[in-house]
Amino acid sequence: MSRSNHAEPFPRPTTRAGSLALLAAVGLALMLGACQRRSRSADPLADVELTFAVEPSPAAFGPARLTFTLTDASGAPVPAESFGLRADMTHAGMAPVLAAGTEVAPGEYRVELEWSMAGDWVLTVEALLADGRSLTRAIPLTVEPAP
Amino acid sequence: MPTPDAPPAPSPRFDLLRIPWIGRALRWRWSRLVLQGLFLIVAALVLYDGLTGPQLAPANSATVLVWVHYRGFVALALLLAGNLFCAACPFALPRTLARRFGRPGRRFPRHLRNKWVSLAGLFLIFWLYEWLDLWASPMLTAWLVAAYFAGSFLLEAIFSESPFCKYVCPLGAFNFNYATASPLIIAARDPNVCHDCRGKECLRGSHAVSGCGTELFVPQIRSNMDCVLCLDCSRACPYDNVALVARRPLAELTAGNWPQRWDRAFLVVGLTFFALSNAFGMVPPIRAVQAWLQDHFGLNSDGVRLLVLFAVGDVALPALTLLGAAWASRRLTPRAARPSMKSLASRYVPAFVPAGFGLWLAHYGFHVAVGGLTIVPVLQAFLLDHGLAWLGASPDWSLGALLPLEWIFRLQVAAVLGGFFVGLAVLARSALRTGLPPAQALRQLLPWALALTLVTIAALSIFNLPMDMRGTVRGSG
Repeated sequence: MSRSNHAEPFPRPTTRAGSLALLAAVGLALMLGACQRRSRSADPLADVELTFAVEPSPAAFGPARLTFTLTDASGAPVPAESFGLRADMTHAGMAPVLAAGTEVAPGEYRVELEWSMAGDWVLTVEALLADGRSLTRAIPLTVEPAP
Repeated sequence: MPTPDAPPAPSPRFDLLRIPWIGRALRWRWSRLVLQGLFLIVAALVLYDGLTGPQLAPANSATVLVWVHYRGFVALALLLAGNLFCAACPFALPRTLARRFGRPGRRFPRHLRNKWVSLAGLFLIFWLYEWLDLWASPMLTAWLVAAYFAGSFLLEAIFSESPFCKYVCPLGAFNFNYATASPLIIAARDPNVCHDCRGKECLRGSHAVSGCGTELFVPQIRSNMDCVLCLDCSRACPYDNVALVARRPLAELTAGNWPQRWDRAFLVVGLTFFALSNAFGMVPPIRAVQAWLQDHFGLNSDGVRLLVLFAVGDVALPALTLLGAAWASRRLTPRAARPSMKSLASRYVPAFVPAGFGLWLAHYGFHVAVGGLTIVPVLQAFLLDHGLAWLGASPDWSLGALLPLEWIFRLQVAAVLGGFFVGLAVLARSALRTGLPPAQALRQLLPWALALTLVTIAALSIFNLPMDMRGTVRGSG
């Protein structure tokens, strides 16, 4: 049985309701777009340099120790009131690894964590500097499978 | 009084549409639109957050909702009920606008009225997924969703018979395929009523409700293929004669009336191999294979290497498996009772439905189990970005797994083996229905059993490997 040989017998009664639903959703999206969305992009703070070293190197699945160093343009250490790290994999659906840094020397912070999976990660450093500025940096890192 | 050529009287069956409250809600004229509206809001969120939100996949609702939750829950829905996601699909909503502003009425080209187009779409989606790291890109995920809306709108504006759903949509192809094993199916309550019906409103529509968008005729429905479970048939029927009934497990897979079409057969086998390649793309050996292709064939482009891999894994291998098993099965059948290869394929490929589903469930279930709760902090952060603290003053990024991680591999193995053994059961029942002596029936199914076994071994090997997810981050932060 097919209706290929029949003219459209009745108008589509859901046309108006479906159109209204679609237009409402578009309107909602536009309204949300009009709201000012707080940017979560990395704060440049161009005068602060962040470097890090990972042990073992290259980074591999399992426990790891990361040492971050904050310095200014002259190479002097930049102290921070707090130092935190969030490590996300690049793909959705993995809970991040959260760790706080411990100051081991002026401007030098150590983080102990465990890579839960090999692959590509993004490390997001969030530090509250002693001068009151907030530093946020995103650092890509590839973690190799366990040797 | 039934006439001699009338269908038999109905036997009582569980009918979901007769359950108090649930049945009424499902048959309510606006129930589908409400569901579609909810999913449209989700799609709007995916578009908005994907295009404007943080481009870090675990922190963006676009990637979390699409690649974790949608994939996992669609598999569960197919297993427990049926094609619920097609029923609630927001991509079908542009159809109403398209028909208002377009000029539908043309028939989809005859030579495209099969599953090859949707198979090509599946190939394209999976290749793009690996090449462009879609799972790691909220923006590309949002553009993929936008492309679905645009594709649906365009096709519905030109053609009748819901060609986007029936012939094009890769998601639909996946859902239709595995819905053939789902426990619920549309059926006529009393076939005698359909026999005497003149209006055929379930197909042609009534003054208030559209008829079946994919042009399925209720009394002739024997398969969930092409049924989007919209329930328009039940709403349109003036005799309240449409039911959503439970059916015997594996009924459709062992009924012996699977259409003799190579596109349908390849869809089943192909999707099984897609499951393998999709999982293979997340384990370390993929990089060794890619390096080998680069060293030996000079394939420096990641996209080209993946194209080669997919051509082999998702086209050549399933084709060889399908044709090889059909050929061998035919050779193992006594000449006097030897059917065609196409006939043998239609008889035995349904066994790949539970086997393939087991692989998808193991893979998609893994992602939901490991990261199902990550949507909570993602939504918390989304609201806070807009100055709303409805879900708390700070996101709880410690939320992640739905199940203990030590359970995951065992559940994956259970899903894969469960699909394998159900697949073997389908093979056995299908073989015994032929009427061949048991020994001959066993010989006939052997090539198919071997194919299922090899696929299962490959799947278990892949799932036993540690994951190694690589993905390019575009503008992380």
